[in-house]
Amino acid sequence: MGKFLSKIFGSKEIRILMLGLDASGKTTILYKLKSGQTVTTIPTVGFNVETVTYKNVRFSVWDVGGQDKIRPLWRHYYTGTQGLIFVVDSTDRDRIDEARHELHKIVNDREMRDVIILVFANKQDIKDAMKPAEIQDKLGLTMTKQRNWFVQPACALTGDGLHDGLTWLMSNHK
Amino acid sequence: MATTTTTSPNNQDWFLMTGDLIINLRSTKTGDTNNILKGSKNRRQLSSSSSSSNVNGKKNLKKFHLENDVEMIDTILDDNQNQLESSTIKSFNDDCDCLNSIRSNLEQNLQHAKETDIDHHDNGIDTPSASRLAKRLYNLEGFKKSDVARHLSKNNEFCRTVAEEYLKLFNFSNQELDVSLRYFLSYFHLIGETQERERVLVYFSKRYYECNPNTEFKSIDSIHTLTCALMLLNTDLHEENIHRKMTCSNFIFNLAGMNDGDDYPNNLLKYLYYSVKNNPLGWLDDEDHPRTITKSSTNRNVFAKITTISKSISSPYATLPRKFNQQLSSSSSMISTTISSGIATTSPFIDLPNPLVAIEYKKGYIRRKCCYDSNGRKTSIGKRSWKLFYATLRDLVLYLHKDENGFRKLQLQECFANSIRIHHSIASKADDYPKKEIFQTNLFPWKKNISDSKELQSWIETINTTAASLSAPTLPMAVCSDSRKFKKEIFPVSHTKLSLREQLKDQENKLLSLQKDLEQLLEKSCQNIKYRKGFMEKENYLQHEIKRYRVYVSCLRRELKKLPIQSSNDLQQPQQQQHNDDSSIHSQNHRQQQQQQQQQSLTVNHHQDDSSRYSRTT
Repeated sequence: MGKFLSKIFGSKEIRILMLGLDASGKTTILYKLKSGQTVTTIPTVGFNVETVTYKNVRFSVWDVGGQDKIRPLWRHYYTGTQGLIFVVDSTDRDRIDEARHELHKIVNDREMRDVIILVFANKQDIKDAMKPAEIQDKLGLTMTKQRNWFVQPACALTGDGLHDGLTWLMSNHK
Repeated sequence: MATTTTTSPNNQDWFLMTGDLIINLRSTKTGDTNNILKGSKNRRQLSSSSSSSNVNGKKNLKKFHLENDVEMIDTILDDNQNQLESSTIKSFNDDCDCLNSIRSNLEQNLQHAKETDIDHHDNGIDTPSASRLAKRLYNLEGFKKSDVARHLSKNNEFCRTVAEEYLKLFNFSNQELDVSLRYFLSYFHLIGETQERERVLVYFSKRYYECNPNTEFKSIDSIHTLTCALMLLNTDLHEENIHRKMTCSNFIFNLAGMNDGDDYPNNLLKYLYYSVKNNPLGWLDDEDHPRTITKSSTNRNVFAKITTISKSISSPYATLPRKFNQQLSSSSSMISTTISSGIATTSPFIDLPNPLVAIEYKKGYIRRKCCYDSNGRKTSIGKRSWKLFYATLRDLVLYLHKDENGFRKLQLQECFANSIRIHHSIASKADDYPKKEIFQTNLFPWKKNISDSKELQSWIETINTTAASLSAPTLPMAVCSDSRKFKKEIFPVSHTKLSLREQLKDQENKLLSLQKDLEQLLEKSCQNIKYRKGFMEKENYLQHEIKRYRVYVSCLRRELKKLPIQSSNDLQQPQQQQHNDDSSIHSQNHRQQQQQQQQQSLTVNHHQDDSSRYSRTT
């Protein structure tokens, strides 16, 4: 019934996992997406999840992170996930390789083979930031064939680019 | 009372010294201490620059200074807290916050200073001061619960030591895991990135293992995994917005094989599941709960500041502020829908600038007609009438008000409702109304009607020049697995960090590359039919961008002419002028005028005040 109603009124839900190294800007993006919307009064103890309603689509964004040891805990959320947001600090050339490993680890999971990948090339406002093309190359995105991916330049602090990223997610999820 | 009066001058002094830091603090979330650290680093540099030459005596001096600072903040804090009790003004609360964090940073600095010259400890960590900090964190001396996490969660030696010392103050002996976790979480607010939260939980697991060596858990890792699973479960079950809740069997299935390769005992998992389900892990609040702090991103900050102003000013409207705040925030969402999507590239996630601190470039009465709606569709004919507004151009926003009093505080919500962002836009004379004096801003399909043509020209110039000099360089376009799709560049709302000359150079280069792009595009489209798909769109876009940059470059040159010339080589003339007739003429004029100006440079100086407001150097 709920599904039926939501079909009529056009509100959809997209479940998104968000991943990225420390200090790449995940939390900033998460709260930026949330700002301007009604804030729940008391936050829940646990990990970061935010739901953002944007143009009739509910995004529930999970900040997936932490060491490899606890990575399997997120398996529960892999099923039914439509999109992966991967946040990269475009100025951090030293750790881009580490970022690539992280990305491929999650993307190559069997449950995640159909997700679309949105890469936020964050901190573009800083001089000498890597350009999206360079990031795409260094993350090895061309290797993942038949995947639908998108590298979106962004500046989380001002909010530039976030809208475009979400629009892409909205128009490309299945 | 005597203490209050003696310390208050100090207090103000302190704010002057650290004013920058405080602004930074307010604009960051609690999890993010980068700015704060930056601030304290500056300070460290300040003091260390003097001490680098001569070693020991000055180091001691530095230590002394830092210790003094900490003490001073302590007194200010006490003072503030006293005042806090007597009056409930929110700003004091904020001050306490800031001071607390400054204080803790100073302590870290102090710690750093000690590290460098004390060698009674091993591997460079001063354990006594770490344990002192840990104790203070435990007892919340000068810290809020929401501040604690960031002192434990960073990935460096000192933080690790502090966290270990902190955990030593807890005793988890003979407790079930969930009881210990609740006990642990009641002491502070575990906030921050997932990675940071996880790090803190590692220390917890370690301590739990130390206190309970003979439980069913095989290792620290298995406790850690289960602890994280409990946190995740708590989010899953008790976060309102999550619909598909985890069931007990989901929970058990998800944890299969994670007890160092084995399963956890089923009974234990069931017990833990129902424990969390029936009694959520919660935080016990101190004076205010963490979300209000975490959420105070810049957007809210503006409003917060405005409300505090109105609070302090309007005593007759004692009940006003809360209501006012609501109106503001609701209007903020309205703005984002009405204006921003006028350009396809802005979004509701972008902050509103504070008009009260912006520089004003021009104001006056204009008539406006709205031709396109926010969603890019044409406005219905009934709503397309001309309306009179008092327009004020401040920084990159054109505010439209009913009358001259638009920026009075009580009308603020209205001032946001009708504003137009002008970054990366061009204003030009509207050709389809040949008889009236109208100009249109191009990115924003709104037309404006101004009474006389001189005024019109001045508006156009001001808007273009402001946009040219303040708009930040565009961000590169997105890359996508489907390479055929055409992507526009992103127009950031923030102000440029370049000086006027750099900005001009940047835009000239941009113009060059755009023209190259257009040439290439035209060539390709002739050769290959495949490129026809996004061709029109891309061509239009490039044409428009080229037009925009031409206007910008000429505006900036005009601006620069007004400035006194520092060195004639400073302006590099681009070599692409053969493409571009009018600008080559322009540059010739420009050179002539430069020479003239060099001759009579004294007379030019009076322009400086007028035009230097456009030039912003970092």
